[in-house]
Amino acid sequence: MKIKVKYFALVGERRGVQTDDYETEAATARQLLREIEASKKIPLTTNISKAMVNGRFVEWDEPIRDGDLVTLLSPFSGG
Amino acid sequence: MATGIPPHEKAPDGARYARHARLSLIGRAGQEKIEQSSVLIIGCGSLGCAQAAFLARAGVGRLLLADRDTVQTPNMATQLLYDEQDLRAQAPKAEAAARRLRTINSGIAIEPVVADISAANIEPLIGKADLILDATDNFETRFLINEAAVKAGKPWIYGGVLGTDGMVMAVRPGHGPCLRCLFDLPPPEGRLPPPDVFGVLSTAAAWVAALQTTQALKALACGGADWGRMHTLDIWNGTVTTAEVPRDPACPCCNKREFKFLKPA
Repeated sequence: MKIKVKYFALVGERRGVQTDDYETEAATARQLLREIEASKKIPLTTNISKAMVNGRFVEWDEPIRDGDLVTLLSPFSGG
Repeated sequence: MATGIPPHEKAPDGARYARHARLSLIGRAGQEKIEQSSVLIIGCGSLGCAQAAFLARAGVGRLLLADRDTVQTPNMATQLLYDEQDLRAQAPKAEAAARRLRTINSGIAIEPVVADISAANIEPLIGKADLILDATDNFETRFLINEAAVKAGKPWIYGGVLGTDGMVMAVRPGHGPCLRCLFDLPPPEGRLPPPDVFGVLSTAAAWVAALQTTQALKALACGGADWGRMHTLDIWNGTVTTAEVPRDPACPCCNKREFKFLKPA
């Protein structure tokens, strides 16, 4: 299925983009994070980051459907 | 509201704060509440400098500015209150910021606190304030602020910036989620890069600080803010995403009132 993935800060910079058109078979936000973490070497894990699906914060086992916008966030520490 | 704020030297015609008082969203009554308020800013870096300048010009009655560091060369690009004299003197940021702010508004009380904020000193500081603005540069202190604010029942405004992006969330204990409802624990040290490694755009910090300060002024003037809504800002692309943060019914901080960060090691 085809989804959009939105990144912020560190992840966006490492990816070189803020939003990706992304093709995946991941069924949940957790599976998507693991897939991206492994393939793109990003430093996000479920215990220090959050996911939003279509603008709503979700648990990591939230299903992902074709056409969804998934946002991956790490906390921003700078001040 | 906090006591001990000195009588405010108002222009006879109220001209100084007229632009804010004439806003229907604030009004004269809201402006007077702002002038009777006390705000603690924890951190005098890029966020804290901008917040303090906005609040001093808005006439907040008392500003407490806490920071442990001195002015260094890399600060000059993003920290708006410091000049080259502060840099040459390696002045403590809280004191340099207070000096500059007194030249902006001599009619308010400004108290610098040169200290490392820790479990040992945060609660008395929060006790002096009606509201706390987060301007720290690390997550451990943010979790400490969260616990001390929840314990005291004081509102606080989380803000963080990295690169060209930022996050803002207003926390009102007992009326919505706290920081630990969203992030269970701070990231392990070294897991995510700090701004001095990753970089930060000055305008991103100013945008985050402006939104934090707006939330603070709304809370002080009207009692309202966007409690429990996370605003995620991307200034490079000019976008803001806003999402409701659900309160965690099992939150160890705001539900179970377990204050592990406030307990000294």
